[in-house]
Amino acid sequence: MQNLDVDLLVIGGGATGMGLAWDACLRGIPVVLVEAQNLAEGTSGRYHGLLHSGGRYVISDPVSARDCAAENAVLRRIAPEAIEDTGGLFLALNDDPEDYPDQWLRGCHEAGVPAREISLREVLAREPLLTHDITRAFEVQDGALDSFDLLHALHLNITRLGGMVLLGHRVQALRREHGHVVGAEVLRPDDGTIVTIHARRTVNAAGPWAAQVAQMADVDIPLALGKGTMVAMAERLVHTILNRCRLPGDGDILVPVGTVMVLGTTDVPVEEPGDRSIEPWEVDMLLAEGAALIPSLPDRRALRAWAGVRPLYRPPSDEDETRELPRSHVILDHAGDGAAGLISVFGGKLSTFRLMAEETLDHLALALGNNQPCLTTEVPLFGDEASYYTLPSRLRTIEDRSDPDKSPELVCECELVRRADIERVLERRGVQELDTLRRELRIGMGPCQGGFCGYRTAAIVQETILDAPPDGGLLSFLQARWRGNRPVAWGQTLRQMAFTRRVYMDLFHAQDMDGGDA
Amino acid sequence: MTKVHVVGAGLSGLVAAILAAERGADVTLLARGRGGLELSHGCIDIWHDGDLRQELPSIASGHPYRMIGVDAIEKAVQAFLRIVQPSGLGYLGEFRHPLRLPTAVGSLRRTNFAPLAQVSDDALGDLPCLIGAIEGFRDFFPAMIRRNLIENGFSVEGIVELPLPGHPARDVYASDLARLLDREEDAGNVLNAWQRRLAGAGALRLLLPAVLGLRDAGRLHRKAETIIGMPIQEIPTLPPSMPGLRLEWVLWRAADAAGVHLVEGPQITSPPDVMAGAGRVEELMAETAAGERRFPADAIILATGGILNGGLKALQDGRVVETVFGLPVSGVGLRDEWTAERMIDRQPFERFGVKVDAALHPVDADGRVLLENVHVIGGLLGGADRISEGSRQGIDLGSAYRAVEVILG
Repeated sequence: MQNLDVDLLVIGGGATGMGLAWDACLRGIPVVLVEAQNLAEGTSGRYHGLLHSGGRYVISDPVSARDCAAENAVLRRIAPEAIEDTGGLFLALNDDPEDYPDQWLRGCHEAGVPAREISLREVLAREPLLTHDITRAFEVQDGALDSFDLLHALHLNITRLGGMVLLGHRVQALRREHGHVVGAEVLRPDDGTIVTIHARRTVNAAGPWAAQVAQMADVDIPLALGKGTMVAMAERLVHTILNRCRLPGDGDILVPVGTVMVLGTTDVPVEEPGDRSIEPWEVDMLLAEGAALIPSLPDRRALRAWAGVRPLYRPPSDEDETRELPRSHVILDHAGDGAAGLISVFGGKLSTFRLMAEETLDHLALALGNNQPCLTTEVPLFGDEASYYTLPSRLRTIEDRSDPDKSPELVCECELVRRADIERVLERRGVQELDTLRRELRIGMGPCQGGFCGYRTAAIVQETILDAPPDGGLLSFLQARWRGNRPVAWGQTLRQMAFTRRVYMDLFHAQDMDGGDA
Repeated sequence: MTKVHVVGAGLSGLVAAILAAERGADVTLLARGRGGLELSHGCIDIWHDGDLRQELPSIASGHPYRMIGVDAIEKAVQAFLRIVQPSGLGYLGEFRHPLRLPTAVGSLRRTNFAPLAQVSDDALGDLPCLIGAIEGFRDFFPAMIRRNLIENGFSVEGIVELPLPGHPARDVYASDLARLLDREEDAGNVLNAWQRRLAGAGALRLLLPAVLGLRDAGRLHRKAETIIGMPIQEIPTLPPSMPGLRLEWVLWRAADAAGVHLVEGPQITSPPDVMAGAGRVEELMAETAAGERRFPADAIILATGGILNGGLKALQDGRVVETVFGLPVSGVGLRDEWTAERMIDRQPFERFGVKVDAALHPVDADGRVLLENVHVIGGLLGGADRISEGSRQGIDLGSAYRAVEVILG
């Protein structure tokens, strides 16, 4: 039993919650954040990687477009190392509505989204794999934002500023006194520890689980869940983020991320926040839509698929569909619902997490007796010297190594991860889940999907971490890769899955190993 | 002289070609690329769980073993042992009692026959051993092996760092080390350095990654044991797997010695009339750099492998295609049911394959022979769970033997 007394309790370790805790720290508000699983375990870690320019929403949701445009500029300033400055294109094709592009361009000017028409010749020179069916093309400031990098940086900054982040801590109950929410009881299932947190204000930033948290205070929130499925192609087929210049729909975004390219997304209403099942039609549809932009796509290898659940705000009138729901966020103070002290924040985009935090804290700060201004638009998350992430940066590190007589000890050839990189993360974080290494280093995310690096990484973990399970986490790591491969298990990906089994079950007979609790 | 074409140069294709040539056929081996031996531990798995002769009646009727029969499997293994005998790899083992060999994660893998270098005289692992960590080689992790071998009852004295004089300043694979050790002078330097390091170590045997040579590995293994002064047990590690490549090398040479003609590189296709139901394949066609070539044949042995090795191609639209003749593939079902939820469970896709009769002719769903002079062998045969049964090489060798027996009497 442990007691904590803070001004602010944040529930949820996604981008919104971590943004809130960081902002609170910078304002000098004592804060603790609890996360039931791991950082970015929910929606933040299961998205397509697109830092929105705002262009996508200028017609359907101008408020969201304006927010995205402003936040895009802020994030480029404060978190460049988590961003790859790919730029973006909006492309109108032959069969798309002819009047949409002009309407869209006007919308961009009104919403403050920088956009510029460029010639088809220039587009095709930049992206040779694109269809020639393009009628008009516009350049915008999309980028690829690595949410794992972003959340790790937030975590470091929060901890450095004295905030507390409790991972693997699940809220059991909200503490209530005289109709006020005054904190929570949280349980750490790993060892049964119970922590009682007394807080003057509690923010529910649990994403798709926000309705369950609000329910603990007998509050219903208008939350709709929209599942989005994404497919990663095994190659980075484009340099630039591609959007269709038409009303947002399924399968109309292509995002180059690291060594792969992500096709996104679908939008399927679901009931359960953990419903991440993927239907074959979703995958087929994403590939077919992608082929409208890149005709050779059907001959390319789909590497894996995953789904995330969007926590969306459903205005009172709307029915079942989730695609039409606004993407802007809402902040609900439950003082009027008999739960003073509890605030829910949901909706919004990963791109607007910082703004959601700022607005929530502006609303709360006065009640907490704090009148400090928000600093998150100005304080760099990665230090003053940070610059944009670029794909060749890892290769450069390897080629520039100080001692040319020493081998680089590459563990993951696909993503160029060295043994030293793994040891650094293990030392700093004391983790033993290979999945954490994957999030930080992209290990196992390339074309071999752990076929080679799984053995090396697990063995290094097993050598380095005293209480690692006998398999070093190998089996659960391979299983996690397997799960992502299954929805696209045909062609080369099915061959690669057969290869993995051949190595680990035939050559190594790893199937009987003790994988610890996994 | 019977003209036999073998398509595919993995274990089953190579052995079929050798056996057919030995029986006097005019054999051409058509190899599109490397066969599957690069991924092989070099051992012969026949059946992991008990005596196959007793188990056979309880094996499902669609299993290749029911078509091949135990006699053919036993004769096939005898023939295999005879073919590899001159190589000095020295295969050991028996049909009924599987060996248990340490793996690169320290678990124990069952197999029926293994090259001498992988087998210890001491099957229970009672002899104290050292695990060798070779300088600069990253695909072998002694600490993990030690921990798990101890849990499996092995007596592990410790880990010894073995220097690698002249190792390159880059990451090396098993094949780099094996090639280095294939050179007489380098092998001498390395083994002498190891001998100095191990002098007085007190252990009774040394576990090493399987990197001791490629071309004359049997001899190098004996030489290493002599210089170092203790038995050496090799453990196959990540592909390229040296024990598989050694076996491939031995079989290539045996094929050459038996007079097999080799055509490398072509993608083999069938003439258009085959699909029209001709019932027989008079010739194969091949796209080569010089244009289309035709290969007239009396009999064809199809050894192109399954999903992993390219004999079968699984498509997004839910079809699974046999890549040479477009033969029907059994067991396919719906695309989202091809794989099981857990990686370690049996996988429906690994049972995909061509159905055959007792002469290994491809048959349709009703058992009618589709091509009377084509015989399907190896990984392309459907209906087996090779990994969980431990039947992969038994199917490869048994079907190769059986096909040659049918064709040449």
